Amino acid sequence: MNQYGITDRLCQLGLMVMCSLPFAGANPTASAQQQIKADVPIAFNRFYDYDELSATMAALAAAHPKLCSIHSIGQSEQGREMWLLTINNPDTGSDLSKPGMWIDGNVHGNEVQAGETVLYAAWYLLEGYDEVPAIRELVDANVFYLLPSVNPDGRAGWFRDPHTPNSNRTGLRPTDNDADGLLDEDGPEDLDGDGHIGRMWRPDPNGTHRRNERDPRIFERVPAVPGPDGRIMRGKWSMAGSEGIDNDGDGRINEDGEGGYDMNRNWPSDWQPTHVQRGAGTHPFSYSETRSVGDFIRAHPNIAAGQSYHNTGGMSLRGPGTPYESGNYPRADIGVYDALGKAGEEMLPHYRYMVIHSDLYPVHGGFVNWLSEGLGIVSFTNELWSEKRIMQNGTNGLPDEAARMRWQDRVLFGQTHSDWTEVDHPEFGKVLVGGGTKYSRRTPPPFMLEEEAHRNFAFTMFHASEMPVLRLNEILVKDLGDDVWQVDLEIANDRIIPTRLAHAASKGIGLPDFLSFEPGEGTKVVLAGPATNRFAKTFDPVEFKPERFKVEDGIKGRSISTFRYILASDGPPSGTFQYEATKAADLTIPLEVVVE
Amino acid sequence: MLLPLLLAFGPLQPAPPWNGYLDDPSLSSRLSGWMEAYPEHVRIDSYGTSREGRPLLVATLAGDLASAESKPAILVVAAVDGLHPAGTEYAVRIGEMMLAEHPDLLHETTIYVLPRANPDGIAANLGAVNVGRRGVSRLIDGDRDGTVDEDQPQDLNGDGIISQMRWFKPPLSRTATHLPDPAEPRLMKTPDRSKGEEATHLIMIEGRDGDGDGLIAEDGPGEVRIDRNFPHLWEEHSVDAGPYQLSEPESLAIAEFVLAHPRIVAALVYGPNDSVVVIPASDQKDKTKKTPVGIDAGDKSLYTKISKAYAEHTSQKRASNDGEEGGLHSWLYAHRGIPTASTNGWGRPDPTVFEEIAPAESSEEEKPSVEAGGDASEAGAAEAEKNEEALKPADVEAAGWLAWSDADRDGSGFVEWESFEHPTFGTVEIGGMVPGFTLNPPADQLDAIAREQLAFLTALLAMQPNVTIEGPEIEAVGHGTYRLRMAMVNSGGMPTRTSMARRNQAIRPIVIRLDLDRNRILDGAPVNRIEGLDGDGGRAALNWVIRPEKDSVTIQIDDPLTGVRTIEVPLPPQGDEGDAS
Repeated sequence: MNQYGITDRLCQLGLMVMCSLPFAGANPTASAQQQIKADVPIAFNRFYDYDELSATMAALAAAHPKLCSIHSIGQSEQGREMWLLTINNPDTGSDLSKPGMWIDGNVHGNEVQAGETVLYAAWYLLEGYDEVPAIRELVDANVFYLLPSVNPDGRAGWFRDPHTPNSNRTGLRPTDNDADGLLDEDGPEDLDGDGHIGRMWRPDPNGTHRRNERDPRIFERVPAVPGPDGRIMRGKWSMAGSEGIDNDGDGRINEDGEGGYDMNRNWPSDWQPTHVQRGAGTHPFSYSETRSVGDFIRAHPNIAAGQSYHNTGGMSLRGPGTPYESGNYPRADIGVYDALGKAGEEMLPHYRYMVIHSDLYPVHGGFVNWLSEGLGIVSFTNELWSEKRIMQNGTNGLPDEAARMRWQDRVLFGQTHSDWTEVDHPEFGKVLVGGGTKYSRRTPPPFMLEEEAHRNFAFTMFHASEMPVLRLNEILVKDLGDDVWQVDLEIANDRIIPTRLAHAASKGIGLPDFLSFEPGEGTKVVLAGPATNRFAKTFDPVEFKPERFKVEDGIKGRSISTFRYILASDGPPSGTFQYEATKAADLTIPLEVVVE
Repeated sequence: MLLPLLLAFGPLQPAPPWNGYLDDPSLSSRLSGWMEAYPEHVRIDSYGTSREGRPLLVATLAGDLASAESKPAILVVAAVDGLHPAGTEYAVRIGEMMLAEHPDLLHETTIYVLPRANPDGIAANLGAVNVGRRGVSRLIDGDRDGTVDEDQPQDLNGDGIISQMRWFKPPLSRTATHLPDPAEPRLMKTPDRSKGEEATHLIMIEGRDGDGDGLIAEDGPGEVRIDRNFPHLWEEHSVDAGPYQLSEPESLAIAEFVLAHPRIVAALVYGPNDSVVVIPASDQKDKTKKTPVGIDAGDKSLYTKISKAYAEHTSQKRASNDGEEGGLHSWLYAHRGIPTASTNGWGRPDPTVFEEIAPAESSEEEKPSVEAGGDASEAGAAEAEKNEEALKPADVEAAGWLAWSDADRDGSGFVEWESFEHPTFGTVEIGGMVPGFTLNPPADQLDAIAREQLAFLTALLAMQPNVTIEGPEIEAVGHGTYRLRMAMVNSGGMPTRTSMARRNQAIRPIVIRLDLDRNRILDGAPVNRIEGLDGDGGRAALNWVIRPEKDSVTIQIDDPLTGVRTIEVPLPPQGDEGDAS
């Protein structure tokens, strides 16, 4: 694939779209923080549809040709390109030679701010590179793979079409959701023409609900108890479902809209069929979007950290998705997750670090489960935005309906609520249509989007900065006499994440690390193998191939590993050690003994 | 005229146990022959390509090819396992006999034959050396040393068969794990310490340590198996399961073929698994507690019926089973809801017994042989004799095959242990069972077996669901109101949807629509779903009360297996309205 051609094409598209946007030109919101000049001004107090997002990514890549490239990893069900940004400094090595971090979002089409959050990460890394040493250090030591939208069709549809905050989670392959042999034949309709799918209330003298006296926009349930007249109380309204009509005449409304599956249940680890896991698809990678992501990640074994952005609820989630997968999270690995997740709770207001199956709900075939359990990649799902943030008076709880209304009236100037409008419904007659817009509930208001993006970026960069980095701690050489030398090599990893998760080591995932020694002239390897530490009298020499042996457990997080060599050499021994790790930059160590 | 020449200069006959079997070119030309002989009934397509580039072939057998895909269909898949080329032989013969003898059966049922689902694995074994490959040709870094397939099995003794090496009293750096089975010293067993047994031998695959890592032939091709690569009970991180479900082009192509052909009513899979000689367990669930490991309890009667048909039409009495994990057959059933018969096609025969040996004589003759063999005393010999009666081989099945090989196959199923000077280990012995011997009958038996299998397939075909409609009946209630009744009865032996399909919804229900404004339906639903009609008379009734505007109503029956049909029901005269009111 001609990567440059695509970049050019997208740049043109980018320029066109950018010109039509209000922020073109100097804009104070378009600088990275601390007054850093941005080559590509991007406002993070608004959302971008699929085309705008693609164009902005292309513009970023075009403005930073050395550090950033853009390419499509595949096409969506409806043929949209899945644009991925790679941020890598070629001066510090090829991408595969460095620890990689995968950052994606928006696998659920309606979870749109995940896209801006990933875009923000790319933007900040690229614009901050020249001026912020901490950012430069992150970019020089690692590679970042950023896919803002795993579900381009869902994203495009969400901005284009009327929706609820909860639709469309799915991709857009036509699917028979109601087992009647027809595909996508009964979706919602925007009956009041407000661009959103709201709710419908029908007048009903024996209704279950009444309108709140102080705020008639709120429908509240009438308690089923006798009123003052001794008769059981009834309201005047009953819920008539979400906005739409019965297109296929089966007596149900909106029961078979677009798509109808969940691409975050379509990954290999603990994938289960639909009678166990709803929305799972016919088999893992059965959608072009998931297959493209899977192929890319499998071809990049250097990926050591993963972050997937979703909404909503304020959570950093880790696996397992079911109790029976708990064995895939050995104690040492849980320590790694805990250290990262707890740091996240400090950086992300009202976020909780949680385990998917025990703190949320069971998930089979989830994406971060595959990264962790299938591939040995330390990974989190962040559920962006919590309505707890609506409360500014220190209450750490969710607002009630009245408080939510005050917030949307006084802070959002009424923009996330459509007033109840009377509409003629073919089946129900006159109904009231309205309620929260698709921007209510699951996405932050625009003025809080940038903060949400930045804080999550910060958490993800903390995660990235804890990918393994190997360092020679010390070489200790001991003359054992008779031209035999003992060399102890101490290799340190100062970061939290090991080169091999304990789970990866126990299941034999990927390649182990290797330690090799190329002897200098006159030096011969007699024995080699791991030692407990430099004080150990004995060690554990490997039986075969001491010149290049496997280190299955890798170098643990925040630890020093010792390897011992017995070398034969008539003078001081010489040679070169090479420690190879798939998920860390390799370490080359010359052995030069200075005789005093 | 060309034929003898071709034979003379053609490739070597495949090694035992599959001499006389079809290699790839012979299979292709044989299938092409069908198209020439029955152009109106057969189409050969490729449903994919193997990793090594071989076409994956499917023969579509139909009364009328143009309408083949709209008929209920039976799927036949063979040679999923590289060690089971016999499956291809059965599938090809079944197809040929079906075309020649039962073309009438194809009018209402299409048959898809996938005769060689794993052409790379088969080709590896049918070459000059029987390498004993079960899987596909994905290259795997089996020993995870960063190089791929660098330490493959080697035919060290040049007998055309990869067998085993046993190393008597290996040095202490390696641990002996086996000893010759006292009951059948050619077979190796693990020691039973309670009987005072001690391991004396190390068993290895025939090969060298190509990469000097101390392991023998640990990194060869063919480790990933199609029958471990399907999503049902897939075993993550097990090498033969593949890196993810359906990671292999061969298995994904089968899955996509099945998904693209929703009218498959039953499947017949030839391979190392059996669901017909022994009915799968119906009382076990997997770790999710929602998916059966064998079959759903509700499908036990169906599988019993299929099993009875198998017993009636074939002579196979013994079967081998290789597990449900990642299997094609278990996926077809558990994830797609398709009744699936999985069979080896052929089981272990009893060795021919020569009756003329008189018992008294034989014991007379055995005595001296015991004495000659060692220094056993009279008492010891008696004890040995007693023991011999009690001695049972550890692997009864293997011993049975060995006995049959000895008695009826001139020992061709076993490579007798023979001393060999190994380049690394010194003196070892090479020998053991011939790979594939136990799954593949002698070529001269293939016709007879295939005929039995055809009879079973025909029985399976006759068992398919057969839904008839009773009614509709319409009755005037008066004042423009009618009662409308209809029933559906399945007289076939199979349910329209297995219990499993009702659970996993992989096959959708039969949908019955009443084409009428909903406001005109007083009782009953406009769209109705028949979740399933059991076999042998399963029945579902539908009742409506309607007030139609027009003088007829239309019922549409949409059966996922047979398609859509519509029935127009004219309204009867209302009769005396006074009666009804």
